[in-house]
Amino acid sequence: MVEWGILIATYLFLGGLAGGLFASTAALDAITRGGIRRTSKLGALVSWVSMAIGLILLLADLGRPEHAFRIMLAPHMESPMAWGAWVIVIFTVLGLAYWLGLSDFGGEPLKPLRSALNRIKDLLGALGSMFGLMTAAYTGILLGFSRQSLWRPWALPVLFTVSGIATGYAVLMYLVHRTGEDVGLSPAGLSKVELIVGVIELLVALLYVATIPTPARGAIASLTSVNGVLFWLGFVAVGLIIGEILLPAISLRTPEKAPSPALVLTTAALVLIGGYILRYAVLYAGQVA
Amino acid sequence: MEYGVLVVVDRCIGCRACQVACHVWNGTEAESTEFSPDYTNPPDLTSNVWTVVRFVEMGEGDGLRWYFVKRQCMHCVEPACVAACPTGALHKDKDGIVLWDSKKCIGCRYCVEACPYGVPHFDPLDKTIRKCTFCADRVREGLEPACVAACPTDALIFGSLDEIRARAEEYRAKGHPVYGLEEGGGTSWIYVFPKETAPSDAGLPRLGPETPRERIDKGLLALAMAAVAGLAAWGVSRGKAAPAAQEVKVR
Repeated sequence: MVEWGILIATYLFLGGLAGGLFASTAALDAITRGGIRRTSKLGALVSWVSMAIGLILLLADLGRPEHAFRIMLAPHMESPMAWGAWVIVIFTVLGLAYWLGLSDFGGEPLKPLRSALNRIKDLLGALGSMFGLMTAAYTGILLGFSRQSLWRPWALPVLFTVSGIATGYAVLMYLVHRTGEDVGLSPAGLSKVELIVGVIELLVALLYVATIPTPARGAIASLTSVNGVLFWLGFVAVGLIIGEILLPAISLRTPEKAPSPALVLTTAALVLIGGYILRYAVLYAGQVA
Repeated sequence: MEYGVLVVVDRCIGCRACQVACHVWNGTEAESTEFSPDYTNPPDLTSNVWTVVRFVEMGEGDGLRWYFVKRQCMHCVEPACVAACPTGALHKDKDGIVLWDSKKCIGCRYCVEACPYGVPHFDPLDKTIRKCTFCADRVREGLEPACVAACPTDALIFGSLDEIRARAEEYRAKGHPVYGLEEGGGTSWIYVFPKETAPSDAGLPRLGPETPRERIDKGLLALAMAAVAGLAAWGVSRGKAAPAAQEVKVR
């Protein structure tokens, strides 16, 4: 029986995206010493909005959302869901603060606050990256504490984290392209990072499937199941092999030239679709295995 | 004192008096149902069905027999549902009974996913979970749980957990497969199976000795590793920063 459905699948995806996008944005911002202000501002905003939507979906999935405050005010801290909720809330606050420090939001009245936040941008970037990747990993750890054999392998939180980084990085590359800011790295350097993340993710995905106990593995490893088709074709073939490996490799063939807008957009779209399908297939397959 | 129940499987005749007694005592609504192919009826636990007798074939060859294996909350020694509950709505009392507080339940269904026995069920009307209470309102007044009291063949033996564990050990010494002494840290409902059968034939999960607490610790370790990775990614990027680049001042 499916207890956790589409709302939770979407939340798992958005949590990973938000964490990976923040970490990628803060890293690129650190490399350029704040030289990509518009990109950083957009990256932080998209990350924050993704997380906020994820949280709304999470609340909508609860039987009694009006009692959700109990997780924050009277949590049972042994529960992975309780510490995960705290990680997400801290990450959301850090993301908002990071974005506010870069933005013009609130005009003159908020200027002192924005200046103060901008001064501690490095601290916010470091802590936000930490809590961002914790959020991405937590979405896998949450599933890992269950009876579902398909969710229990320890490669799953790793896969969700790497996928979060891949989806976040793909969105960031699109934002870099949109703002046209100089990120201080060559187009080839940027594509190479994407390719490396893609290869790592592919290896982790294979490790994940290999470590699922045999009776449950078929639910995702076999092409005779709907979730298996989604996993191998949607996630591995389209999102990973084409989106994260082949398309960046194509960009690398002309290392001095920035990839075309169509290529950047297609790459981001395929990686995002693959990342979403990963969460959907794993969540559903786990509950029918 | 913690309570326990010994389920002696080959004493059960499949009369389902325990199912009826459970409904009557707890006032849970009966559900419209049909016979399932193996005669288990209703086919599974639900938010209203807190115990059900599974009809199951166990053993092999000449030893193949039809057995009846009662299912209900196992009231685990270290319950995964309690560990999973983010608000403490599910809790284990001093007498070993695992109960829930509807007022605190937020309907997240994490307990449903966490329980290795598939026991807690989400009630679509209450929007909270429900499950067997070990008849806490009876046993705390010195009575047996309703299902135990109704059992005509003494297939269910109620007592202190220490006593129940000792009896289970005796059965094990005589060659009977026993379930619940170690699995997942142990359970308060312990099963004694006929010789030449296996608990897994009755649908009981093969659990190692890993307790929920140990699994949570591994989760915390994974979370800490993600934190280190996030910090390291930022630190390495900062280290690579071009020293000549200018900081942008806030506007």
